[in-house]
Amino acid sequence: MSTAVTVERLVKHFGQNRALDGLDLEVRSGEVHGFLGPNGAGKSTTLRILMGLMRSDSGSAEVLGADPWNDAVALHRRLVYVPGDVELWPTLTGGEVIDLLGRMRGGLDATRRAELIERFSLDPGKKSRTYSTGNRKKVALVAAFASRAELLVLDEPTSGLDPLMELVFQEEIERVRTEGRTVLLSSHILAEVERLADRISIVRDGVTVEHGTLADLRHLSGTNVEVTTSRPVTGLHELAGVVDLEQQGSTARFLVHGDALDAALKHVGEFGVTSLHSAPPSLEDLMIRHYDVSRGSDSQRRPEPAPDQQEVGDA
Amino acid sequence: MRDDLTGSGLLLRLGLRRDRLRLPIWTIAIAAFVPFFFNSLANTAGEDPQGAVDDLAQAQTMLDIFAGPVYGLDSVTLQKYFLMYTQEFLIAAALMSILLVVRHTRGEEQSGRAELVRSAVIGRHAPLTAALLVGMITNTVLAALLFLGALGIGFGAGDAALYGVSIAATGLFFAGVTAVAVQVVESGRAAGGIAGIVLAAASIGRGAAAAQGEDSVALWFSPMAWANLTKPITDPTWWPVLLTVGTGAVFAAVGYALSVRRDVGLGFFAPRRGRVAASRWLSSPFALAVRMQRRTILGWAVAMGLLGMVWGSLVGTVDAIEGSEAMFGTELERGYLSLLGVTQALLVGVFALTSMARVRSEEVDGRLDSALGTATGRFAWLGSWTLVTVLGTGLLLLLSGLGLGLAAFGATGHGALLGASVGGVVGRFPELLALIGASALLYGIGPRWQGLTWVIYGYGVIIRFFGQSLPEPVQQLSIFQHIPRMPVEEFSVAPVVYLSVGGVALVGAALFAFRRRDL
Repeated sequence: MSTAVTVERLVKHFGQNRALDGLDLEVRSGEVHGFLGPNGAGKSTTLRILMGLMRSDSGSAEVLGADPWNDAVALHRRLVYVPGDVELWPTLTGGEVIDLLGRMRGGLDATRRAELIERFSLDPGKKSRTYSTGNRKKVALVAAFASRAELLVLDEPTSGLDPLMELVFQEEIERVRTEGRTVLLSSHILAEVERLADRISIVRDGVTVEHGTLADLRHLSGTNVEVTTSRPVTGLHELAGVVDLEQQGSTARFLVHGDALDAALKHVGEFGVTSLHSAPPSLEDLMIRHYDVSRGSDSQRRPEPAPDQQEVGDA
Repeated sequence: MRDDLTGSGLLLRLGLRRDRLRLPIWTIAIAAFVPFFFNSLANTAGEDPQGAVDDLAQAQTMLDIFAGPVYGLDSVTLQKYFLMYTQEFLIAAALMSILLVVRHTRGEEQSGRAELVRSAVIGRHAPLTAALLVGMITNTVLAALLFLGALGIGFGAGDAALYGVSIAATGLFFAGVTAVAVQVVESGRAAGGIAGIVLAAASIGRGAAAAQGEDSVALWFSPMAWANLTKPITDPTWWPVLLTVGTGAVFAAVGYALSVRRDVGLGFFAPRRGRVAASRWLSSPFALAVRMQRRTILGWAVAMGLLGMVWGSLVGTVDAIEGSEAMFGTELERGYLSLLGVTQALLVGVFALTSMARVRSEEVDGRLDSALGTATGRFAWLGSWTLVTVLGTGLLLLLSGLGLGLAAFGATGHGALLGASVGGVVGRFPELLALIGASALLYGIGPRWQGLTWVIYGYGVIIRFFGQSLPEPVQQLSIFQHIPRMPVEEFSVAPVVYLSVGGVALVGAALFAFRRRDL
């Protein structure tokens, strides 16, 4: 399978602040790739480098087989980009902006344009100045989905959208996927990525800390188990692969890593199981675990919380 | 009602905090021109101020249009001569006040910060009150500094106080006018434009009224004349100050009244609906730049054309003596036209710089990412905006020259004045090309540097009008000192060529620099 985006060891400084610290990213052709991380992790910076708006200090980036900085114009005929903060020309109407962006990209599908305006319930006759944040986002999304680009680069595309519009957005992404086009979607909304993405990369402090399919990540992480037994379970904490153990009377909650699941279940079985819940960890669990674990060392490494400053640099 | 002002004090402190650099820079920069102008006068006319002013008074109309009404010309001292520069100080105080009020009112609403403020425990009138108070404090500081400056150049205490206060009062008048303008329209730029039009109209009206005579009744209808009417030194009169401040207060009251009849963030008129699809031509960065600028260019075109016609029509009063050169207009007429031509070109320079500033706000306001995320290259982007500025500048120069020349022709019957006026104004195009190139290059290097172009421009203006006594190399540093003052001086090709080539080269360097930097 060919790759649409390849990023290796990308580094970018803003003054003293190291926004990207050797970030890796691989997006395969035809997949929806979720690019996850909290504010200030370096998502927007990465996407802006991929769009040729910024140059990296070191490392390499390739988009659709081309150099995003040197081949920007040729490349942009083949992709669309929706920035994180959509600002529009205040005196143009939404309809005019959609057409202008489409034409500057090299054309847009008039039928799809009409259909998308309808679906996103956008009023295209209003001046952009009067649009809310969500409506400005819709204008950019309509222009993006009405294009025939092979790659869509979307920076937090649903921020500002209401839940109904988020559903429309998800359906549109599905449609893009079935057409075999590629989507790189940055987000900090886990449910959205969980639902849409084929593969995921999680970034923290400018480094990719996890990547793979959701199933891969879950396997790495393990299974959440809640078990109630007739006699209180003992000796669980001695088992390899069992972590985060909490016991309350006859109920035990714990996380068990993939290959230790069998041993753990056999162990609790000896205490007379009356009820058992098991669930794969949600992406949220994965993220929280990741950030919780690293927070201690993180705060030592960087006494000033940099994310805020970095957001300024991103914008 | 009492609650309407809640939080004014808090907002005042916030406003002063935000202006902690602007306030001293503006006021000190303005007041610094008191000793600067005075010293340059002392250098050129220190021996015989009466003689120097008598020479000037030969072109009484020109004097009136730029500086009038002037008083006490029968016994001139250097201090009285200095008062001929009052208009420059008035314009500076007015611009300072207009920008200040726009920044603290409509500017805040446009950025969305006002929503945050107004949702707190802040009365509905507090933001405007705080803005006007910042304006009052700033103008009071200006009055104090001007007072000290005037004392320093030999004014008596009473005259120095009257001088400083009358200028600051004009600043407050325009703060009041701006308080109305910001209620009416939704964008700070448009509000500033409205106040600027009032300033320009008051200035032109003052010149035209002064040309009728220093006792013309029409002077009382032009606020820019009221400071002159206090007549420091000659016949100190305080009550025009009350007229100025009082009228300003009436405007401010209208502003308050309008502000409660509209919603936060909106203007007085509901925004009109527009097209649901773009017209066929709106399909390139150039078309976008034209679309963004066309109203501004149209407004400037009307203003410059009218200004040219007003100034040109006064050429007939410059000199009644019919000399042997009458067929081509007299020497004085052509001197007058050349001065106006230079002034108009410098005014068009303001358009050029504000127009180039638009490309910076495309980036700073966050629209650039969307545009360059399309198949639009950086050359095309910056090149388009620069080209629109260059074309607009050319058009404005042409219209300025046509307005001036046609009116001068109409007033005198000398056909040669038409061509001379158009040539005199349009011939200065290379200066502005160089200015645009400098602005583009500074922006290309980084958006924060672009404002420095105003230093290049301001230096040129000061040298042009007040720097005749300075050493030649200091004068030659200005880009406005190279092209001859036509039609008085002979046309020469060399400066036209090197300024044009330089301007184009700067634009080329700008494109190159913009291509290489992060956005």
